[in-house]
Amino acid sequence: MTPADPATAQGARFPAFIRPLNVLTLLSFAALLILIVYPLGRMFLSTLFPGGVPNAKAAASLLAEPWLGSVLRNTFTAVGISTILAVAVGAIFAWLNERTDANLGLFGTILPIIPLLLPSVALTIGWVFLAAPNVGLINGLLTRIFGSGGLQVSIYTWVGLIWVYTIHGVPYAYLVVSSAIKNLDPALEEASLISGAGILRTLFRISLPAIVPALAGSCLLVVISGLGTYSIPAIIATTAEIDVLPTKIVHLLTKDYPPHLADAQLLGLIMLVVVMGVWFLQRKLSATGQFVTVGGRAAGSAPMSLGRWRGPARGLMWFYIIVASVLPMAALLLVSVQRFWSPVIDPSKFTLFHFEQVLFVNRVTFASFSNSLLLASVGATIAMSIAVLTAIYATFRGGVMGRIVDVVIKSPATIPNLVISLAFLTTFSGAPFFLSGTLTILLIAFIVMYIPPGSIAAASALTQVGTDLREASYISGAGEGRTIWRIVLPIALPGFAAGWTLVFVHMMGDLSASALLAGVKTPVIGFAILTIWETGSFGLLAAFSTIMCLLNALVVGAMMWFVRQHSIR
Amino acid sequence: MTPRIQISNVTKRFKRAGGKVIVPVDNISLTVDENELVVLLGPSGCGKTTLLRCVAGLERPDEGEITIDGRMVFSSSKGIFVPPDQRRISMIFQSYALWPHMTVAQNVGYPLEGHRLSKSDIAERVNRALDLVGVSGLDGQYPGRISGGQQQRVALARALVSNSSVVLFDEPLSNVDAQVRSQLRFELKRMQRQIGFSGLYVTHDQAEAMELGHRVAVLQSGKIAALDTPRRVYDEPPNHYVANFVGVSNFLRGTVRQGADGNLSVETTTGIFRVVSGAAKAGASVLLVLRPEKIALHPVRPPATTDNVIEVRIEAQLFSGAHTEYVVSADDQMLRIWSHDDTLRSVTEGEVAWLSISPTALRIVPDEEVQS
Repeated sequence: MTPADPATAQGARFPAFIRPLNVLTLLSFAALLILIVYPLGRMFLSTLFPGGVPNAKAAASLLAEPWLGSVLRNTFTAVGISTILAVAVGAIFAWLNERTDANLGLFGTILPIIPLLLPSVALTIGWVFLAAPNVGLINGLLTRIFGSGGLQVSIYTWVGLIWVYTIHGVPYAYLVVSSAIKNLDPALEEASLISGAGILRTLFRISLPAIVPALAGSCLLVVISGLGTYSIPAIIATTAEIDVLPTKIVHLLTKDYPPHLADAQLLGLIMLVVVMGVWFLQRKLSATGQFVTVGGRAAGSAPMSLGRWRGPARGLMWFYIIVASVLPMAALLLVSVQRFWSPVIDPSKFTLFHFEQVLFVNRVTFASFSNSLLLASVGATIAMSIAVLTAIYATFRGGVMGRIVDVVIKSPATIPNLVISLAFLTTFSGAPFFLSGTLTILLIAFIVMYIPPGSIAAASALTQVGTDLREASYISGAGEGRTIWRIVLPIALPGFAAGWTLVFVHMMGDLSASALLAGVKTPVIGFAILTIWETGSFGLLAAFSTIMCLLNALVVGAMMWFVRQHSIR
Repeated sequence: MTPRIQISNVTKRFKRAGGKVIVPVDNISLTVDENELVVLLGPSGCGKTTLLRCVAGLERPDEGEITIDGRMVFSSSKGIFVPPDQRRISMIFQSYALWPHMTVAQNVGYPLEGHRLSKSDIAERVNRALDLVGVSGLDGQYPGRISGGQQQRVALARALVSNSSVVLFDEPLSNVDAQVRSQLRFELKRMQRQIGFSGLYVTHDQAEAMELGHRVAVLQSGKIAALDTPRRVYDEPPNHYVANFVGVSNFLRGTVRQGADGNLSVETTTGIFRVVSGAAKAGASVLLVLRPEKIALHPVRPPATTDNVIEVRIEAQLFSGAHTEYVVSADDQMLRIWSHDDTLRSVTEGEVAWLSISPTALRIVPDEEVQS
């Protein structure tokens, strides 16, 4: 049949009068739009055009700062190299797993969950415990092998920083690339193999070129997360005395007195410009149109045989899982049960002292757990409600309005989190809002920052509810409300639950908003981690991070159980 | 008697990406009477599904009027558009569209939920509907756990449970295998007689259209090319498109001649054919329609009294079980002949043979290429 333009078809169904779905969606959408546009706009306008005139003085004073060049260079190097590495590793893993006989059944399931179980801050702390000079567990092992004065590693170096950034970026790249490869017709690759090209030539001439947009998209994603993540540089770069944009911005605002607001804002603007540049490049690459070979996938194509490379390829994937999850988790656990952090492991001296401190003695740690739990559950619920509403709206109505709603709700994903939190700090802490140091400002910042993953999950869950299922309900005499309630929501519920968990875990592990917006009266997990880090109580930090990971594991586990119970067919 | 469905001058346009406008439904008028099943037949892209979706209310036409059961559900001039949930119709989807999270009984009971019925009433009517379509044991199953044919029956039960007087079918049998399909066709016909409903049935399968429809509307790029009983559409196709799409036809291009006795004949490059039907005027350019099953093939030259004899060469013979297809050539024209005649077994490819066709079996349609 003639493919009906969904916009026309959907628009046709509904006469122009007010329906609850429209009203609810547009209200929440308007609120979100204001929360995204207003703070950013106000921040940049007040910095760049105070009173309507270009602020040359602020720019000049920033340019005159002696540290500017090195900060930009450092950021470019750290984020640039780690992005290239992460996308390369993620793409190779995706290809190995989707297309070759080296595929590990569980790998595709485990990899995306790692960052949920082990937020970037826990990953970073874990690696500090593993590879800190002298006391790191790896160094303990190396001393035992080579003797003192032998080979040692240090996390507080360029290599260490890029190492953790890369581990952090791989799952993002993997997710984007693997779904692109999944959609790529295997016949393209089979045709290449049959034409006499080897596996490597097929990979570099056919598979990878065909998914260039996905590769560009994953670069964008990794750059954004690299620029916006405060946890990794806060813990590693600061000690290594490598100044990068995120740490410099927070430093200018919280460590200097009086705070250098204008400088910080300009740095935020630079971040945004860089991201927009990458985004533009990615759009240009995808728009050339020679990549749309996504077609009907032949079921059950045989995986390519890697021959003797199969073992090493699998080994590489296992190695990643170990360095990205097993080792840092083990390190957290080991340090948390030691009274004092030491590379010498003596089970007879294990103690629960730090856990007792975190849960029952230390007022800040306990309060930060309960605050974060409250914020994350309320925040995830609100964010997911908005995401589901707008996703339903975009799917049901389609058209220009549907697309606008969709783009706006995903737009915070293109803004580094630290920039959003900076804008919130500038806009809402003072008059007329006076939200400084409240849970409210954290809540709305969390919602704006972490709604995109939830919205993507909601939209993909909705695509599982075919148009015909909705239409069959209309024909059966059910109106829009009953159709949503009885047909759409039940079928898409597992996907919505997964989205909720994603948002929840992001909010629990947040450091970017917490570093700027939380205060002593409103401690949250991120704030507590930074505070403990600065005091140097490593055992406490390890116990605290371990408990956070356990909480996340609990929620993620419950979600996976729920999804399994409710998945259909 | 007022028709159950009345479609008057309905037009639906789509704007494709790039601004090109296509008109899948172009000023179509059609009625479906009480207890009548009208089949919309055509190749993909002819607009049949779009027309059906306009009747269902899933698409909003740009022009025209649609009346269902005497109630106007769409009128472009009066600005009326009744949404699908208020049209009180049933529809069977090509994909069945069974809700995967509901049991068979819940699926079938869903259309009754708005009817203010007690639970036991709903259960009783659901059971009756499942009985009717022959899947009474499946009520507690989920759709993902039953076979395609059973899913199709459940979809049918869901469409019939609310006793709508109008049922729309969107290629409902295209996803089941051939044996189940012919069984379901037969049952559908029986049920339609038994319950009585008016139906609009979309298909691209002409055999299905012939078997099921009281009338068949053949659609050609948004317009009705033929609308009549299946027999008349097949036997007397009004134009080349219908003759070509419905059934298999051989076409010979020729010119109408009127003999001294007043009889009509058509002169083609392969020979002169005497015809009886057709209101063709002498001198007109026409296409002769020769249905393959109406042509007789003779291994020896038939007696001179036989009408319309042409000498041909056997090019190929294709045995297909029920009949054998002979491809013959006459003056560079390939013709297909279907025969059950066992005496033809001896013919071999490359041999000369003769075909004959009764003047009453020949049809004439206008030669559109010459006219345009």
